Amino acid sequence: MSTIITHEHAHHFYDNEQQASSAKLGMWLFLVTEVLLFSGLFVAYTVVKSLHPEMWRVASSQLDWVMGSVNTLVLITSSWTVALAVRAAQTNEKGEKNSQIVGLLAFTILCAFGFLIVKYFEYSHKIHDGLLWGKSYFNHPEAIEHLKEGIKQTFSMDVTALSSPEFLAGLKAHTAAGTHDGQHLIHHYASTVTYADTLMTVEQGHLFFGVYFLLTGLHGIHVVIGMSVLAWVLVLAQKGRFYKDYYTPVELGGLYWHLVDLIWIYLFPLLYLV
Amino acid sequence: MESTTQTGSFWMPPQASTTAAEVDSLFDFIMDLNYIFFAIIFAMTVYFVVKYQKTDENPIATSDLSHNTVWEGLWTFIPLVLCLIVFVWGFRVFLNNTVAPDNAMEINVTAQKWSWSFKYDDGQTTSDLYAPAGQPVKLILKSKDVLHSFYVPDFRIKSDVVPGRYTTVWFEAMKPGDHRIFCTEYCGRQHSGMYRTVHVLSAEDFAKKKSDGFEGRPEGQDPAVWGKQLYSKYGCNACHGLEEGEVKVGPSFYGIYGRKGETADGQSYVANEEYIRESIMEPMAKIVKGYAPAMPSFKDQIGGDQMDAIIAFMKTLK
Amino acid sequence: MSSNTQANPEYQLGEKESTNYINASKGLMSWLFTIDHKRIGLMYLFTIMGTFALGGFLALAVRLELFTPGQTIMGPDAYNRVFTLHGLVMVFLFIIPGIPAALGNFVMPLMLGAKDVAFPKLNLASFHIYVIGTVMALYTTLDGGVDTGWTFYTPYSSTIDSQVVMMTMSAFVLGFSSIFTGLNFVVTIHKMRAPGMTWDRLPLFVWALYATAIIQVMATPVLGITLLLLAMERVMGIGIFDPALGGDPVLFQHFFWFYSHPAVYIMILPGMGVMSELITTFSRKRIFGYRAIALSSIAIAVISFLVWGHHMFVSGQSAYAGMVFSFLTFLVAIPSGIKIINWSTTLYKGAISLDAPMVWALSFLILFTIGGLTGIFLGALGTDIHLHDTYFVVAHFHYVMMGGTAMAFFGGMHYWWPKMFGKMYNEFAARLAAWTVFVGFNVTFFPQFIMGSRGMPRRYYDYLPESGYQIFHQISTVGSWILLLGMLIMAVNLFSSLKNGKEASSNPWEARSLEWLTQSPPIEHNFHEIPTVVEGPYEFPIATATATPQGAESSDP
Ligand code: HEA
Ligand code: HEA
Ligand code: HEC
Ligand code: CUA
Ligand SMILES: [Cu+2]
Repeated sequence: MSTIITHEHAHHFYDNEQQASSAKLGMWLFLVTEVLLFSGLFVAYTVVKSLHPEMWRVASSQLDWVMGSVNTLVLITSSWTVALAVRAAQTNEKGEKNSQIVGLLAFTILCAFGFLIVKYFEYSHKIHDGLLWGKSYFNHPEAIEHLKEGIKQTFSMDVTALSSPEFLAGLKAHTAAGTHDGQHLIHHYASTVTYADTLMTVEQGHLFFGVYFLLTGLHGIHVVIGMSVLAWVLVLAQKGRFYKDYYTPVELGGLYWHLVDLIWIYLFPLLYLV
Repeated sequence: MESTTQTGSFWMPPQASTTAAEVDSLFDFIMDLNYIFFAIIFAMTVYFVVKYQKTDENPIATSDLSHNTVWEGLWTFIPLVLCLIVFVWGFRVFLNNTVAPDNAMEINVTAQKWSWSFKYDDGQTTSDLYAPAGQPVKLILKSKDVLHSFYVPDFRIKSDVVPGRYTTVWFEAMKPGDHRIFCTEYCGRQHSGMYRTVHVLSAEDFAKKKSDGFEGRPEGQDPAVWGKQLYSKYGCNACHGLEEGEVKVGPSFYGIYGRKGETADGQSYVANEEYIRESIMEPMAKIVKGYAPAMPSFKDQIGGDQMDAIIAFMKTLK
Repeated sequence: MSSNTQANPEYQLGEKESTNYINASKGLMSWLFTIDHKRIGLMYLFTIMGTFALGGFLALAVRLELFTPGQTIMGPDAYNRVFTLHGLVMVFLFIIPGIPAALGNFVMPLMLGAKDVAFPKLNLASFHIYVIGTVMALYTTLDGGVDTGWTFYTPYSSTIDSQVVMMTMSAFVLGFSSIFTGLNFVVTIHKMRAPGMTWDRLPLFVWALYATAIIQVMATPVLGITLLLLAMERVMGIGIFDPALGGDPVLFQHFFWFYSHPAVYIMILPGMGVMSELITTFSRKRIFGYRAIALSSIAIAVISFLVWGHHMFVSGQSAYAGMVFSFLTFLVAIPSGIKIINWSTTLYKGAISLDAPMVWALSFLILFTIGGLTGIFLGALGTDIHLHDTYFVVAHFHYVMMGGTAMAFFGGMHYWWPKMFGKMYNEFAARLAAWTVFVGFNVTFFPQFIMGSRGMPRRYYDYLPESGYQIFHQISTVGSWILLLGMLIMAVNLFSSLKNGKEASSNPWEARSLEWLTQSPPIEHNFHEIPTVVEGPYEFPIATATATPQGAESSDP
């Protein structure tokens, strides 16, 4: 026991055991609140998707599933390494595994970095293409071009009519006025049902990207928080704090990171593949 | 308009639709339950408190009764059964109240901040609702801006009016008379001013008035006087005052005719007939400098005669 | 004063120490950065009294404006802001944190025989977050305010020109405070119980806090995300609630009520917990149906997640949805009924004294019964169509929130005041205040039932003079002045007791739960030695009772 600092429990607990199990229960409850936070967005996802299924298909085809898959792999790997780090702390008898814990945590954080870099490229792509939320979407005519391309591919139909300057002008006026008469534009320009559907799709594509940015943005914030937590744990590990009787921070940090990972495992198929 | 709420029972306004009585008998049933359960609990509490006061003779509790499964089961079971009765009853009343009969006359209703407009099958629109007695009427509701809610207490009907979708509500008025319409979903500044009237007419009167035009200019009335009535009927008064320099949501109508002004994007204009007409039909086209683009369009509501009358009324304001 | 306020010699366990949690350390910083649950509870208590007073004055302004038709003291824009702020302050700043964060924080660890909550620093953080949220809300008010009603319905809230974003962010922040308190309480109740404190020996207040905490943890994140979506709707124009952009305005209502219905049970359950303590202590009798009361709290917590649609019967949702929600609403009424009847049965053959906390408790019993029973009209589809968004609803929820929770809050405050401060207030003035509030409350809110079912819509700045509503409004307004009088008597009495009050013994009410085992005010670490519990919390003296609270053994002062 000479190489490690034994841990003293806080004054209001009887012992380490009570303290550790309290912390763990607390963490699980916290994870529940996190899941519920995201579940709100998943509900929004489901509702919007069921309101506009065609649009959803077209718009989600604009995401780059290769990048998404890479990120999925990166996160799964990081989840594995963080699990190894917890394992190492649990079996750390005399402090001989300190450097191993540090190494594994460092690798996990590196993966998180990698994830963010890929995300950065994805985001800048979308921003460049104007595939954005709400008003920003309407301010980018190129977004509409992209969606029309998507329609062509998804439904293999002719979309040249959508390039008429009339249509584009109408679209612009509609957003500028901000009127609440959603059907307005369609009645004005659409003569056939399919045509109307296509128009609708182009007009409502922003909803998909709104949901996309909300979900991935909130997840991204969690990645950053997770990285900071793990970095803090890493510093403690460097100081040799963890051994088989005291490894709560490693364990809780690991749990948090698994959650971040798990949420992505849901996001990836729901956004990129469906 | 005469008051509509001073008659009726102690709890309820008068029953003026065919479904009102059903709602009221459910209400009365629940009220009776309320009285009974309240009486039981009140009596028990007061009786025990008085009887088992802590005194020198009764310094400590004389029982340590901890539970009684039979009694507790009973007061779980009885309320449960009563609740189920109320539930089923309530659902049936609800269905009768929401599903309109097939032969109902349809009227389209548009809500906007802060007025109602009612459009009949012959295309005319009114700002109050006109309905025949003894005939089911189905209202198809839509909103131009935010949520509103269509409520006629005397008919016991209510439905939210939701932008972007249609909702419906129906009633069959029993006899001629006037009833209050309220807006019961909060919609901003003049939410409480969004009340109008249902005029229930006998079938013959309804047909006659309809062909004359429900809200045409009354025979021989000065257009400017009529214009002033329209000013409050359409709810212009919610946003436009008549005093010099009075600012509500929009600019005052005082001296508006011929007034020179500037739009938000810096063009100048003169408020002539054409400009006023455009302001009412397409309010977003030119926004007066210093004001929010808050005015709704009255395109589907204000017809030619009425427009002339409003402008005539404006001309008198100086 | 009746004999029960004198110390019962049986309970005197040794000499009282001169240091306690209040005078253990000095200076503002020692309070603001304390991690002692008792001090945090006290800080909450004073902040919450402040927010209640604010909400109350806003209510007085609402009532005064409605005294006459047309403009009485303010215009429509001001009125709409005032009632919105009244609702927001009362809900988010007063009633949700009220009992758990103020009274619960102080009492619950004592009741468990613990030295503190599980995460004292998190507890402090909750308080700081609460203060930040409060400051944000007040700042928003000075900066223009919001006029959306406390429900923030879209598309009004997403299009109107006011400080909606800032206000939603304030509620978002307050939500975190609530989540952290809930999380802390669940863990504390699971992990920090003294030896022998089994689940069926927990005081019912603790059970109620447990059920509440579960709802706080499970429902509040959804409110968080809802408010975030609303803010994004305004800032980024996301459009999921905006029909013009292809969204669905009614979706917001689903989101909002998914939180806010369970939230009404966040509001009432702690009050019900306080009730169980007061009723037993002042009838000196074991609670009737301990298990039924404890489990009905949990039942309420679970079912409450499934009934949110009863706020939306006329929103255009399908008749099928309406049917399901109506049905579940009735189910949730049953456990509340069990509690009510069990409390009145507890009085049977007791030895009842009408001390001030008991007067508040009896007010709760009567008023909550009225409020709850009128909920049945609202849960029934047929009648809710007529009553929705009228003053009938306003009266219903004031009867349950003000007549229920607030009464329990004041009752609990009077009950634990001697424990908190070691001082007794003037008993006569305290009873007078409680009776005055009871009368004033009924005068204020009963007329609202009548005008509501006669069709008076809520959130109305104005009503027509010939509509017949005026007389009800006037009675109601006069009632609000009686309420004010009662509240003032209470406030003056309580505050002056801090200076002039008699010393309180460790157990002035001869109650049986553990918080009465330690001295008043308690020592810094609650108990010198963790007590060992050998019996339930309501073993009042009949022939065989043991001498100390919950039969606990401890070498306490
Ligand atoms: C503390 C808060 C609280 C509590 C506890 C309750 C309790 C209940 N509420 Fe209430 N409610 C609110 C706060 C609360 N409510 C608020 C704030 C609103 C309005 C929000 C807004 O729009 O701004 C509202 C609105 C509201 C509505 C929507 C009305 C509308 O807008 O149209 C409905 C509809 O079902 C409802 C029903 C109920 C029911 C059935 C109960 C039940 O839980 C009551 C159970 C209790 C009893 C029934 C009494 C005791 C029982 C007995 C004595 C046994 C015998 C009983 C029977 C035979 C039934 N409430
Ligand atoms: C906990 C919740 C709560 C409480 C306690 C109250 C208390 C009161 N409310 Fe409140 N009310 C709401 C929650 C609450 N309200 C909500 C959620 C709404 C809906 C808002 C909306 O529609 O969006 C509402 C709406 C509402 C309306 C309807 C407005 C409208 O629809 O247009 C009215 C009208 O009469 C009203 C009146 C009152 C009155 C007179 C009190 C009185 O009981 C107040 C009495 C209090 C005082 C008079 C304060 C005196 C205090 C002191 C002197 C200091 C005391 C010091 C200490 C405590 C130490 N309220
Ligand atoms: C919801 C509020 C609202 C209502 C209701 C409303 N208006 Fe307006 N109105 C405005 C606002 C705000 C402006 C200034 C901005 C603009 O020009 O659109 C305005 C501008 C005008 C103008 C131009 C004024 C000027 O000084 O140039 C006219 C004319 C007008 N309204 C007529 C009407 C009439 C007639 C009605 C009723 C049939 C009406 N308004 C109802 C809000 C309203
Ligand atoms: Cu329209 Cu309220
Ligand atoms: Cu509810």
